[in-house]
Amino acid sequence: MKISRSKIYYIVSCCLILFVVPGVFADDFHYVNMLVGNRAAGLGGAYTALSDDSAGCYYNPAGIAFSPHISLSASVNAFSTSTKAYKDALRDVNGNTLDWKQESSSLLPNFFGMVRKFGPGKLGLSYAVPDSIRRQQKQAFHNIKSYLPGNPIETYTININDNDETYLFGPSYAYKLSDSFTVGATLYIYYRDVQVIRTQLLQFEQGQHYLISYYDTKKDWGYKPILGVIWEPSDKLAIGLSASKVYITSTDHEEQVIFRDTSSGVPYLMDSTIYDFSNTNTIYYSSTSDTEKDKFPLATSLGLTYFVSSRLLFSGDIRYYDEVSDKEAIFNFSLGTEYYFTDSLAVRAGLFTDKANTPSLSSSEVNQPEHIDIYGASLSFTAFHKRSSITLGMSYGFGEGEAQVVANSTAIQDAEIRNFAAYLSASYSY
Amino acid sequence: MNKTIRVIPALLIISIIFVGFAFAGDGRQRVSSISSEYSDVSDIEAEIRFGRELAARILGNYSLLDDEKVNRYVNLVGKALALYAGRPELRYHFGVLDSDEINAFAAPGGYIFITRGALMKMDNEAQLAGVLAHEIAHIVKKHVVNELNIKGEEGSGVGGLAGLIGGPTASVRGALEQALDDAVDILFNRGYKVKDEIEADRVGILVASVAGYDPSALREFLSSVKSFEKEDRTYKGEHPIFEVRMREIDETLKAHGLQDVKKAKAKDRFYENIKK
Repeated sequence: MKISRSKIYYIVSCCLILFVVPGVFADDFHYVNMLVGNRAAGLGGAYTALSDDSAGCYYNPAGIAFSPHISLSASVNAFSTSTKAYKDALRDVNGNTLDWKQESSSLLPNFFGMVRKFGPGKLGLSYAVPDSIRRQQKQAFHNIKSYLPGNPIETYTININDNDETYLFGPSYAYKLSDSFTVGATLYIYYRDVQVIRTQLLQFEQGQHYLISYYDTKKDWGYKPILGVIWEPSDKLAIGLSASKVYITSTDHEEQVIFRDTSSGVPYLMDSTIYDFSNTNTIYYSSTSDTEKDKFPLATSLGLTYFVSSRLLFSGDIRYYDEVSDKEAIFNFSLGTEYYFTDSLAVRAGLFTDKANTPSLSSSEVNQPEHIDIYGASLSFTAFHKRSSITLGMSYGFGEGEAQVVANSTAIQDAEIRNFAAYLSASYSY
Repeated sequence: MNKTIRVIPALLIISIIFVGFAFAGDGRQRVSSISSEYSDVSDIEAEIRFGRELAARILGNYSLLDDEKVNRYVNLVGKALALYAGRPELRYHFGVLDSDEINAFAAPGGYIFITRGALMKMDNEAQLAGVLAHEIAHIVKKHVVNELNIKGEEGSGVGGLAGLIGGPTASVRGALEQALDDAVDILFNRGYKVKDEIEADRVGILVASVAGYDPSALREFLSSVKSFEKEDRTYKGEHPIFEVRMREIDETLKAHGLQDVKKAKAKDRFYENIKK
C-alpha cells in the first residue's frame, strides 16, 4: 500500500513515542564544516587578506595575484571525524536516560589547486571539498519505555548511513590593478551528492514490531561565484574582502519510506484511508520526488593580515552570512598566526567559530532544528624544502547546544558536537 | 547587528592608522622563500642557468659593444670588485652594451652589463666601480633569485612527495619562461624593489670602498645623472626613490665613517680606456 510521507510521520508520531526526526542532511546548520587549504586551515581559515597561494581561489581570488609563477597545492588525505551526542534522548523502563550518538568520518583529498601566470594576471584552477560527511550510527537500546502499557520496547535498533559531499571546481583569475591593489574572481561549479539511509526497528516485549526504512538521495548542481579584492596600504598590512554565494540550477531529490507496524491492533483512519497495522503482511511505503532548490546566503568575508616580519604574521577574518529561508544571519570569526621556528619549519595556529545558523530552541515548539555553536582550534606544521613543502595539520571543534530528536515532542535535549580533522598536504611552487 | 557592522570598519581604520604605515619592506615574503639557507650546488647551477638565459634576453634587446679594449677594461674593474663581494662560487662576466641609454643590468649567476651611454656620463674609474659594485650587490644578495624563487632540483623526501602530487616536470619549462619574463620586466620596466636598491647601494659602496675606490663615487654619479634609467622607479609607487636612495647612501657613508674618506678615483686610467 502506498501512502504519503507526511501521513507516515503523523501515524508514527501517534502510535509511537519514539521517532527521530528524519531527512536531516549532512550539516546544513553550519557553514564551516571543513577547513580548506593547507596554510589556510592551519590559520583557522583566517585567509581572506592572505590568500597568496592556490587556496586563495577558494578564500579570496584576489590573493592569487601575489602567488609565485606556478603554484600547486594538494591535500594528500584529509581525515575528518565528528561525534554528535544528544543527551538523555531516550528513557528506559527504570527511568534511566540514554544518550543518542552519531559518528561521522571521511577520508579524502579535499583540495587541489594550481595558479599560474596568464596574460596580465594570474589564472587559478582549483577543486575543493568544503563539506564531506559520512555519518554512521549502529546503536541498540534495550527496555525502552513505550506508549503501550506493560509492553516496553525490548530492543530499539537504529542504523544510519549518510553520505553527503559537496564539490567545488572551477577557474579563478586575479589581476593587479596596482602593486597594492588586486581584484579577483572565481567561478566554481557546485555539485552536491547526498545519500541518506536510515533504518529503525523497534521490537516490543510482547512480540510486535515497528520498522521504518528511509532512503533519500539528492543531487544538486549549481555555481558559486566568488569576488574579492585585496588592498595593501603598507607592506606590513593587507586587507581583503570577498563575497560569495551558491546558486542552485538543478535539483534531483527523491525519497522512499518503507514502513511496517504490528504494534497496534487498532486500524487508523486518516483522510478516508484505513491503515490496519494488525495486518502483518502489509507494508506501507511512499516514494516522492521534488526539484525544490536550496537557497544559500550571501557570504561576505573581511580579513586583515599583519606581517610582523618574514617569520611572523597574524591574520583575522570576520565572515557574515545573511539570512536566507529558515537560516538566520550569523557572524563567524577566525584568527590565525604563523611563525617560522627555522627557515624551513613553520608552525601555524588558529582559532575559529562555526556558529549555528538556526534559532535558539523554544520550549513550546516541536520539530525544531538543533542549535549548536562550535568553537575550534587548528594547528599545523610545515616543512619547506626549496620549492616544495609538506604540511601536517589538524583541527578540533567543540560545541554544546540544544536539539529536539523526538518528533512532535516539545522535549529538548542537550546536544554536543566534537569535530576532529587531520590532513597531510603538499605544495609546490616554481 | 548594525552596531557590529559599524564597529568593524572603525577597528580596521584604527588598525591601519596605528600599525599600517609604520613599516616598509616586502611583508608577504616569508623566510622560507628566501634562498640563502638552502643554497646547494643545484641552486647555484639553477641560478647560473637562469642568469645565462636572462643575459641572452638582454643581449636580444641590446648588442654588445664591439670594442675589445673597453670590454676588457670593464671586466678587469668588475672582476677586481667581485673578489670582495663574497660569492666566490660565481664566475662574473661583464659586458658593455652599445646603447646611448644610461643604464646597467645584473642577471643572476654573475652576468652584468653596463651601457655605453652610462660610461660616457662617468668621470672616473671609481664611478664605474660604484655602479658595477651596485650591480654585483644585486647578484650577491640574490634579489632577482629571491623574488622569482629560482631554485635547483628537489632532492629530498619533501620535494619527492610534493613532486609526486604536483607532477611538476611538464610545467618546469613553462615556469622558467614565465620567470624569465618577470625578470626582464624587473630589469627593463618596473625595476627592483626599493629595499633591494637601497641594499645594493649599501653593499656596493662597501665593496667599492674595500677594493680601494672612493666610496662617494656612486653618489657623485647618481647626482650627475639624477635618474638612473629604469632604477628611478619605485616598486610600490610609494616613495620618490631617487631621494630615498641618496638619503640612504648618505646614511651608509656616515654610518661607516666614509663620508670624508678620500680613496682612488683613477680618472686618468678611466680616460685611457674609455674613449670619450
